[in-house]
Amino acid sequence: MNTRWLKSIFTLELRQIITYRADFWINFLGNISINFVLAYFLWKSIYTAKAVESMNGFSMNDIILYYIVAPQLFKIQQGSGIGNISREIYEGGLTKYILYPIDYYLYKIVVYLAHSTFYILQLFMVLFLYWVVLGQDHVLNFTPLQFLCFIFSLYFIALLYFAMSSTCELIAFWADNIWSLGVILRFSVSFLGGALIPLSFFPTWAQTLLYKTPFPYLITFPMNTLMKEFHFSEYLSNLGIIILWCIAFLLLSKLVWIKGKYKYTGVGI
Amino acid sequence: MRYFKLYLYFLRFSFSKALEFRVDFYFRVIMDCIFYLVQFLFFNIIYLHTPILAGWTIEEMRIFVAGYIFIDALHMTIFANNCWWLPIYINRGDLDYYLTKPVSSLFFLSLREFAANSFLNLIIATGLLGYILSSYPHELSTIKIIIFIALLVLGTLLYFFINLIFLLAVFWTQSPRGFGDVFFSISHTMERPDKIFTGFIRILFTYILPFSLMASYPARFLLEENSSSLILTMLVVTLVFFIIIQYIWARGLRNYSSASS
Repeated sequence: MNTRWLKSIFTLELRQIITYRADFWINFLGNISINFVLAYFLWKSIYTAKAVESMNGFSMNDIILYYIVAPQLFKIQQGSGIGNISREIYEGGLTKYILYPIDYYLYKIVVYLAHSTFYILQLFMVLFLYWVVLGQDHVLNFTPLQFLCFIFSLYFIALLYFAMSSTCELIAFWADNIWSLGVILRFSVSFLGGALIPLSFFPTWAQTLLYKTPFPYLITFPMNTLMKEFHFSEYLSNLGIIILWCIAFLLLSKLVWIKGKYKYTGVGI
Repeated sequence: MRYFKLYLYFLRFSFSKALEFRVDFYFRVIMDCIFYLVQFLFFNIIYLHTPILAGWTIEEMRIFVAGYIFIDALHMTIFANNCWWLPIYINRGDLDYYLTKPVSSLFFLSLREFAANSFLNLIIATGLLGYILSSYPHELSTIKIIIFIALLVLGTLLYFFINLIFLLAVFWTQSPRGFGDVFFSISHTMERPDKIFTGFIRILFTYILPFSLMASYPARFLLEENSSSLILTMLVVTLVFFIIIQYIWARGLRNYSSASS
């Protein structure tokens, strides 16, 4: 199979993302600062009210790191964002991809991962800024293998989110507007995955229940890989679960695609 | 009166449009209900670990949460769709059509699309607010509740003005979304009680980017004694931001070239 087009699409997407540089820097720095400020003041008032140094395995510094990295993980997962596939279905833009001698699904994954790669590079900057500003070397105390495993897991969480969101987006073949479905997925991952509050703060029964769903693997798993004590065997077993979820959702998504494409008229609305 | 009639036309068109997309209508209702649920659960989980936050008990915090949910629903219904399209029109050079209308272009662009599909959510958010207020264990005076709701409406206006400031940056940056992403992040400040902030950050979120005023001040007015000064602060800050918006809009139009970016 000629895979040169994959590389071309990947680099083209990366170039497009950084077209608006002023936007990029202001959005990037603005987002980090606000995440830092909100996490710092909210949790500082909780820690002060309780008069404790650490809660549920998180010191104040851990919490800050958690809240500046978790939104970035969220961006990495969301790749090129909500609505791309459904928009092409609604506007009739899908037609050109069907005519191209490429696999539409693979094309979408490559575009998605190009965006994820860009956000991974942003994550490096986030970690670097954290290290420069706060210098908490005891928090950023990971081994090279641990860090490598962390980065590796990011591509899988992106793929899993792609599989989940593309399943929702392909419902556009039947429904008139599915934008809200993408937002529902985003809310669910954000809360049930642990981006809003670390899952260790949830009641134990809720944690047990949540680990039977894919959500904790999207946020909590990579966060634990970066921040908690690293055990390679535990990492592999969690990665295995993510891969199984990926396969399940990719198959489901492919099934919806196969069924849905026969509904496609190419007219656009 | 002319503007009122025009707004009634906007409402009629928006409702007919919303009814064309019924699946979206239901999805949006579910989406917002999940959003509301997540907001309450977030604070419920926090209160599992602390009895008090920013001087508020969980019952008081629920009033605050219901308040910002109400603001969000009102903004989503009246302004959000227009805020989505505004930077796109400017960026594409599609503003000309609106500039030629014999009405205020800012009025037209801010209110032309009423999100009829979010209207049901506004009803749900209002019901939720009513329920939280009625189940509050202490007595609340009727006049204070009325002023509280009026302050929430004022908070919505303020939220919209600040949103506009971030979006109108598109006149100068020529990017498709202005600083909409940053606004989205900063807007979460509204969802935190103002008393958690201290020092410069508290001043920043009270007067410069006054997200703390929007829901915290109405809740504080309702729950605290001798809180009349909060009303005055909200009124003055909202008025100042209204003037700032008019100024930025006028400057932005001078910079607008009609060309697509």
